[in-house]
Amino acid sequence: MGIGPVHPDRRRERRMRELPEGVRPVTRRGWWFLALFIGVIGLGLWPVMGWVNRPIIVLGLPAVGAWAYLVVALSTLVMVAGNRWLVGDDDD
Amino acid sequence: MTDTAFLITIGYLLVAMTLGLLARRGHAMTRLEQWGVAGRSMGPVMLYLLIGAGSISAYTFMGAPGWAYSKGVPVFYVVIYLSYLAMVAWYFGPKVWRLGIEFGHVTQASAIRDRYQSPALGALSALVMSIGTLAYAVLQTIGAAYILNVMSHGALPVWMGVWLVLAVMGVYLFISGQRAIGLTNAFQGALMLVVAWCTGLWAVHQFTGQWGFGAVFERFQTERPAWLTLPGADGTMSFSFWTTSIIVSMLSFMPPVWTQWMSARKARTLRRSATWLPSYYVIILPMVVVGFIGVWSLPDLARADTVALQLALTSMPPVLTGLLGAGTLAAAMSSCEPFIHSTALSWAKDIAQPLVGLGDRATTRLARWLLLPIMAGIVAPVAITEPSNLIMILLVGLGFAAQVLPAFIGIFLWPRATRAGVMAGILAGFAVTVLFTLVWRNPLDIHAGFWGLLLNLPVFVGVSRVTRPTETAVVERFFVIVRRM
Repeated sequence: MGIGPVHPDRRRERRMRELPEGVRPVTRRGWWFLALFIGVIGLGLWPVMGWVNRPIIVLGLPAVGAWAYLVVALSTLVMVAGNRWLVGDDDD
Repeated sequence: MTDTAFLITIGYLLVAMTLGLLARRGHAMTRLEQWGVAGRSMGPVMLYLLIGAGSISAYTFMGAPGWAYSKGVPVFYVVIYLSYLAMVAWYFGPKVWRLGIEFGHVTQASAIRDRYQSPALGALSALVMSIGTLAYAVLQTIGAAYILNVMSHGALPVWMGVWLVLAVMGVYLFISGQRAIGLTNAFQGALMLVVAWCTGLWAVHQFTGQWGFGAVFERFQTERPAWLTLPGADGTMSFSFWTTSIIVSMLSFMPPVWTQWMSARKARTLRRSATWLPSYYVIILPMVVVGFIGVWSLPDLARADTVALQLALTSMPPVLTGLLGAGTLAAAMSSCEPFIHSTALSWAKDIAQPLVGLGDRATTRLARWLLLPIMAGIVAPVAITEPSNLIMILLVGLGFAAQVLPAFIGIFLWPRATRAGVMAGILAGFAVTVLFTLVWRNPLDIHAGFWGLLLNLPVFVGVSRVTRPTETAVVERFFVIVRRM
């Protein structure tokens, strides 16, 4: 048997095998953080917004407005947590 | 009274010009990395104000009070999506910065071109992204000219305001590039924060006798509760539109934002700025309250987005009115200048350079001179005609910006993404977005850009799986970096 041309499917398979894997958390802490990240995003969307959508005043603001600023605060807290838990000093 | 207010407003242009010119001091603008991304030198405070002020357009001083006036609480969707954009900046920004340092990217399209080894895809993304970018710049220019027109009681016509504002920005952008944007936006950001809170607190005290906002909303609770819940007073912000608008806005990676990220001194600097960025969006709250007050004090307003300016002109002290004019002008200009600068940068770097084979210095010279035709040949004429369908162009443009998402998934998350997959996804998503923006607007109250993504992403994944991946060595050098951070 001589050396013939490589079948295109096999060539593609080989190229795919060589590619690096996709990016995803590799530690339990990383997965928890991802869940937290997505959770905070979920807080500003339906169905959660449906639960806070009432004509009441909370801390001097409409409930929807107060909730929006709670989401602002939580977004910051998630990033602060990420800076402490996940980010090392090797990024600069 | 009018003179004082107008002089303060117009005086702001002088301050902006001075700061813009001073920003260059000691730096030669002969290299793209210097003119385009300020030599990657910006510290955390400047970056915080740059990104904050850049994302807070004239919308804060005109649109937000206008939405509060005509709709009520739906206006708060902006606060939420801007906070999510900060989270996006926190995660992706440092990766973009590191890729820029390692591979010399100064624009978004150059990163796309490099990842997919396709000058055509880079040029295409630069060109089509500039549709939305320029539409946005035109809207902000119209806003700035309109403010000058109102503050001068019509003495300064809109066309003259357009040329005046563009001339000021054009001079300092040409001379100092991204450094001018950094310094002027830092000043604009601080000014806007102070002006918004002074205006809001003054208005509340004037109309309720108190310093807290509660009394304003309590009156709505008893007399007009529709303003306090979704879908708002005019019934247009359903839960589905709220949710999909936030998602689409969050996933729209606009080129100027990319340039801002690459201007950071360090990856950590950018991450710190992004962490605290949501706090900047307290700026919107007092202006929202001003819009709510307008419902009672200016009930017959023809244009809702003029509520804050009209309230100021009819009842505020001239100094505060002038500061509000200056703050609104600052908001419009701080959003306009990065968009014009980024378009010139990208056209030179991602379209002209690969096409003609220019060197770095020649590309820098071209980028600087491209400001002139972009401003005088596109932004000014379109702004002066004030086209009624400009919002439509902007919506299509922003809808498209979200459709470029597959390109970024391939850069940051999925090595298997291919050039053909990205192209197919973008084209499919763009076609749906155009259709659902122009022909059948937002079916089922779902944002047209979201419909576009629903087709775009499966097409992107499907085509990527059956087409040839980018060379492994290229993908590896990207993923070594993005995985590390």
